[in-house]
Amino acid sequence: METVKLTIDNKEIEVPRGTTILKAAKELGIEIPTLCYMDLHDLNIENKPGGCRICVVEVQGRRNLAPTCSTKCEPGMVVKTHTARVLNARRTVMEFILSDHPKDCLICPKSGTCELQDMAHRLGIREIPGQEFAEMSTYRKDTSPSIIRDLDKCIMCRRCETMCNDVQTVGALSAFNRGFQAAVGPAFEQNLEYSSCTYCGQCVAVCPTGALTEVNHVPQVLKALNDPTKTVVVQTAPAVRAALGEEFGMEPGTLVTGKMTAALRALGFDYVFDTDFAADLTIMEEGTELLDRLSRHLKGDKTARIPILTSCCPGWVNFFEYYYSDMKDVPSTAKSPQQMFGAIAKSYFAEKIGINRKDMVVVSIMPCLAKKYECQRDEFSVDGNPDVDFSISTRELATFIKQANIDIRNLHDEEFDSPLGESTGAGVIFGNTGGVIEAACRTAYEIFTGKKLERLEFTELRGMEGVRSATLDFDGTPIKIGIAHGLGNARKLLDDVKNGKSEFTAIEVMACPGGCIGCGGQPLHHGNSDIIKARAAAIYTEDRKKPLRKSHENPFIIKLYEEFLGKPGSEKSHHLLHTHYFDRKDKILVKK
Amino acid sequence: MVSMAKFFLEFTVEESCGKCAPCRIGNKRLHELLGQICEGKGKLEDLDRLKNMSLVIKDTSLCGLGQTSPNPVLSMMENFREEYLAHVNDKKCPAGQCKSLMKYIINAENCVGCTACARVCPVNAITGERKEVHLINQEICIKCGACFEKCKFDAIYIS
Ligand code: SF4
Ligand code: SF4
Ligand code: SF4
Ligand code: SF4
Ligand code: SF4
Ligand code: SF4
Ligand code: FES
Repeated sequence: METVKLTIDNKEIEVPRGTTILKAAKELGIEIPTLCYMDLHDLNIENKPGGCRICVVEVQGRRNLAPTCSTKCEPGMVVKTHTARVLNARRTVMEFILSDHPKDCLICPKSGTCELQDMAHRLGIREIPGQEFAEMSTYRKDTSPSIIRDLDKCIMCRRCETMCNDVQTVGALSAFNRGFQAAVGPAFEQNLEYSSCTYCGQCVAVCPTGALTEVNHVPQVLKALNDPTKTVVVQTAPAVRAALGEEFGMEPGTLVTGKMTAALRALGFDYVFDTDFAADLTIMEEGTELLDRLSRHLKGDKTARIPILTSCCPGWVNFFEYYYSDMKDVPSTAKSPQQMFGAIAKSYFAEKIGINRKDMVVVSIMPCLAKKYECQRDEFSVDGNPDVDFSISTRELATFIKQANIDIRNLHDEEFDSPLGESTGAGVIFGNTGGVIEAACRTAYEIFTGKKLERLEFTELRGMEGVRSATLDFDGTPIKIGIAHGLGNARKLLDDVKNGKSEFTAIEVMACPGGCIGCGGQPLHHGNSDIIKARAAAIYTEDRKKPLRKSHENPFIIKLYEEFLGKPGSEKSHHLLHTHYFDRKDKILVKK
Repeated sequence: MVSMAKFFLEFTVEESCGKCAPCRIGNKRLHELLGQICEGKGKLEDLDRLKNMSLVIKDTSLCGLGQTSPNPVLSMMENFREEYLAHVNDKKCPAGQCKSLMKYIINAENCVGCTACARVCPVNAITGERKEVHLINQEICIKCGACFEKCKFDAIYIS
């Protein structure tokens, strides 16, 4: 490999050609501040518009200062990162940025986790000269079912654009207007609700400021908890337990399943259940559908379309309803675990405890912002009463716990309630990319072959590669599995399906890079992909700890079918656990 | 010259694409500060700020536009430092370009009371009977300079 030698702050270093000054300095332990730059190297995502100019340094012989995030090392370069000229420029530029920013930290949802606030603190900014007569660029606030855009707090780092356009290929966000009035948003300055936005939340996950945040549903949940006429049931998604601890200062990858359950009980939820139960149920329904389609396909039935696509990620559902609405019959009709849970809670469980569904409030704790939108969809309600009333994010739950003076670190582990809290390891791994299909294969293998699966962990389906594939041997029948996480990666597989070139039997798609563990409702990773990897590892640990690791072995799922649903794919299952898809393009292109 | 620098910046503020912070926001702030100085609200330390902002915008902007946009401010500060100081210290515009720092005044000795100025004034700031000395009400005057142009007797001067 070709290398270059250079000096940074009087220290010599040799780096591969093409390395940026920023990375070279980091190797020397010199942390140059950055604001717009973002590098999620494990996911192959990089944002370097060179826009904030906070990362500048002096390079000997160069006329102006060099932005280190986008300047490559050259042989013999002499770099100085903290001369008076550099420090003054950095401060002045920061003053510029802050002069066009509301001083709302006291009441801002990002306060405490805001990168701009941190930077102001790090640079020791104490006043902003000229603020008295400084005009502020301003833009109307936009609230959608999941996401709030407050562009007054936007610093034009363009990270959201990179996520939405380059990574997700959704194209809902792009820069418009020039100069001081420049802003980022949907085409024709539409509100997000009337754009191609999938509510995947990836823009929110990377926004350094309070410009993009989730809609807060905690007040409604608090109100329900205080209403004596309501029975409040909560479900928690698999990815939440692997990340919630971060909000309380625990190491990324700390599992807090038991403490989270205890905290939810302390908050006053009447029943603390687990979305993992519904994930097991999803496997039963989706797995049955897969096997049915597959065997019909193998028999030459032309109406049986292969591959089958997973449908448990609402961000992904929104995406294909917009971009691939002509392929509405390809995805599984199984609802997402969140919605399956709601439907079962408000039917089977409500009956069991003898209450009317209208007196039950179902709350879900999700890593996901798309679920906020999903639970508001018309088709997921009965006579105007939604199956899932409110969906709150991992971050919202953390704030709620803090508000309620609950010291989660010192709570004793507690167990989920029965029956909708019982799950297998297969349900847990839904949180990771590849997890849904791995869980499905554990069950499908045994049903298809009639044999016991010896090796439970399909490691060939795991990993962080954006598009992965593996062929599994179902006792002589090759099952080709495709996996994509991130919508841009999904598009690659989908185009093949569209053109009839796909060789896969089944494809799993998750909208978020890394799967649900990396979504926009999670504690912010601030561009550190090690955090996402640590969460993924935690999910697999939880799976290994479970006594049962195959969905169809979950005794409470078996009981649910015996007592209530009949068998997977039955009429009742179809009515409660399956859905249909729409052409969202038609639905959303209504003028604002 | 101060208003000239301000005029040049107006162009940059218009032309900035908005991609980088120093040009997008810095030029706007530079323009605002020059505006303050033109209105006679400048302080002595503002001249240092003007210079610092200009240098940083040049030093950190992403493209040629931002890297050169403060040049008029810098070169005028260099070459016409006295004029800048006059704006800030004496609240005067030696070039007579900065409107809020200047006044149109009628010199009683030259005024013959022709009424030409009063008739041309768009805001009726000038009073005075025919053949008597006229007077400009500074509260009303918008400094358009129409009377100054019109007067055939050199009776109106700028202060
Ligand atoms: S975005 Fe950050 S800096 Fe701005 S008001 Fe919110 S917390 Fe403060
Ligand atoms: S939520 Fe996803 S699709 Fe919507 S704007 Fe953000 S990144 Fe784009
Ligand atoms: S909305 Fe957030 S992520 Fe997007 S450009 Fe503005 S500050 Fe950056
Ligand atoms: S990957 Fe998970 S968290 Fe992300 S949008 Fe899909 S379901 Fe939600
Ligand atoms: S310096 Fe260039 S890139 Fe930066 S805002 Fe100005 S015109 Fe755009
Ligand atoms: S300068 Fe214009 S506004 Fe003022 S007195 Fe003369 S004509 Fe009237
Ligand atoms: S971090 Fe380098 S320009 Fe923003």
